[in-house]
Amino acid sequence: METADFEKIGPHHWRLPRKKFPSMKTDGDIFASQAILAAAIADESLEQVVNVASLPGIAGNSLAMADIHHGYGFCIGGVAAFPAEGGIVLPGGVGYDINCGVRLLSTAIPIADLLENAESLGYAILKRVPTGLNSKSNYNLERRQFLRIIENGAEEIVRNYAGAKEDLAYIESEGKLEFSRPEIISPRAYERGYSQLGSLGSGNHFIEIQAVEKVFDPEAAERFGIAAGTAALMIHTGSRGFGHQIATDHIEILRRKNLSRIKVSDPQLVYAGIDSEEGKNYLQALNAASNFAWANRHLITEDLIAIFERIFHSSRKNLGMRLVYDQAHNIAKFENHRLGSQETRLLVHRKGATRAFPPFHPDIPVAYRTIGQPVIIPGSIGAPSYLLRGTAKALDLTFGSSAHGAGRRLSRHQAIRCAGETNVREKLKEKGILVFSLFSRGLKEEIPEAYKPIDEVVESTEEAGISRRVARMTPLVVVKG
Amino acid sequence: MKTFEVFSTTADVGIRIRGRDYSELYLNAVEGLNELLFGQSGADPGATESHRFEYLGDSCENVLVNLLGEIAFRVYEKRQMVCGLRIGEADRFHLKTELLVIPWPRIPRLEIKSVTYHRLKIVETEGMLTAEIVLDI
Repeated sequence: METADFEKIGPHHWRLPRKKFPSMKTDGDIFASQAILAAAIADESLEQVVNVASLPGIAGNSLAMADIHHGYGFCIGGVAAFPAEGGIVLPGGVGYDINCGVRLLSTAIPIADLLENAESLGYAILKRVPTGLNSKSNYNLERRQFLRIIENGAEEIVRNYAGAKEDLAYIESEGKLEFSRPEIISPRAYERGYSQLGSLGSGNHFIEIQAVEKVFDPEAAERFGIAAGTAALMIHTGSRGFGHQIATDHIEILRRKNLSRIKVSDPQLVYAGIDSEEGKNYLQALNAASNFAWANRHLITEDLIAIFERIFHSSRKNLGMRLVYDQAHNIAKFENHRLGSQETRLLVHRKGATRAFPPFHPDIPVAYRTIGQPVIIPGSIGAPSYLLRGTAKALDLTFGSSAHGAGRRLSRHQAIRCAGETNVREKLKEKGILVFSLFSRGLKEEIPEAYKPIDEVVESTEEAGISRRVARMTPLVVVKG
Repeated sequence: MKTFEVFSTTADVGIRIRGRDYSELYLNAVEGLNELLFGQSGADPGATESHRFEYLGDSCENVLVNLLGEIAFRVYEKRQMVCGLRIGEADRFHLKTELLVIPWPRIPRLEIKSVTYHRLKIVETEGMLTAEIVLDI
């Protein structure tokens, strides 16, 4: 595969026509700069776009966002939809960390005030929120309590633990998907779930206190409650071992049942009919893991708010702490989309991709209805993060989807080699970023050089017209597992 | 010839393993995992605790994925290192073994969240079984 195989459809929009490969049932569309496209060809992630385009019944095109990189079977930054009636569901199109996602909170705290307390905040977060490998949940739940969490998601946290009911409107799907069959979840998934609820995890998961550095779209920023010169909070984590175990269990079930009788190029692309027993079971389990992830981020949010209230001797209301939005970037959900002239019910798989619905879409919070859905694209450690908003063009071209992050370009070993003897913590401190982590190896794996430049990803996303920049935030305090 | 090597992919890591038979292949997979997580391999003679593991799969890849999944579960949920296998039966579709465990000798270097089938194929060349297994971290 080479760049010449792709047709330029528009700015930062490339198409691999289905005629290029006999297996393709539809075209492959990539929303990226030419440089990112070339990198995606080199890391073979575009072959994964081809493989997804070859799946039966795929609706619309096989899509990849600007943060595309190689995944298991299905590329990261990939989006694919299948008809709700007669279509398929594939766990590989969601990924192992089901409902891994990002949550952004705004505050009215001036940066100067934040900086005075930055060190205390970092240590307090590290102490209170379980992070990294040697941590366990702060919650010792009984089975019935855990079941209510995976049935009700963030709603259960607000009802019985902490948080405000008003926040639920600012969570994708209001933090809850329908789940009513606890018997389909394996004992091992429950065990991993019990021990990890309310924890951050390791790898690229993080908590950041950020400075809102620049506002590009004042009207949208005001509506989202974001103001330049104030602090913001970002949380990136997912469904932890619970979601991973569910993904592992259902890939195994589907592999055993279906792999020998379906034709896929990679066993990680194994699928089931949405209406089959295995498909229904996976979708139920997926919803349980999604609910766990929303509950997880909500519990961590409440931990952070409690820390801020204690350190600033003030209430969340006086500190202006408010949930801007919480969004999933590893999920499959049923949505209505226009295909040709017809409105069609589809199961949209987003793996390392963010929903980016436009103004007036019924599935976004009423308060944001004229602006569009917030789209949060976090950068790598030490790099800025962006808040954008969804567009009508995204709905037309990408089933209302956008990029989800910077996207790795170096392996972890390459990153460690690249970091060499550099003290990542000290280097970032020189830039005014305090890093709190119990393990230095993890920091080296996550150095900024390991990721695509976030500015390039966001520029491609905006140039392609699938999201518009609202604000840029720079990190002040980073807590990593 | 090394019996295992750790390698990295763009986002994750993996282990390349070799063995003259399935017993050796599965043992070397465990050795490789221990090297990756704890920086040490080789059986610990001090292991006094063991757990039975038996898996009947549809392929050797299936057995390998489930063996490493079981070990990852022991590492992160039970805080144990599986320092050796006492294999009863091992073939392409079946593994019956005791997992010899000790408490974590140190905190693992990284968290393996899932064991994948990504490009996993166990091949036999001139009497030597080889495989590359990618781990989601």
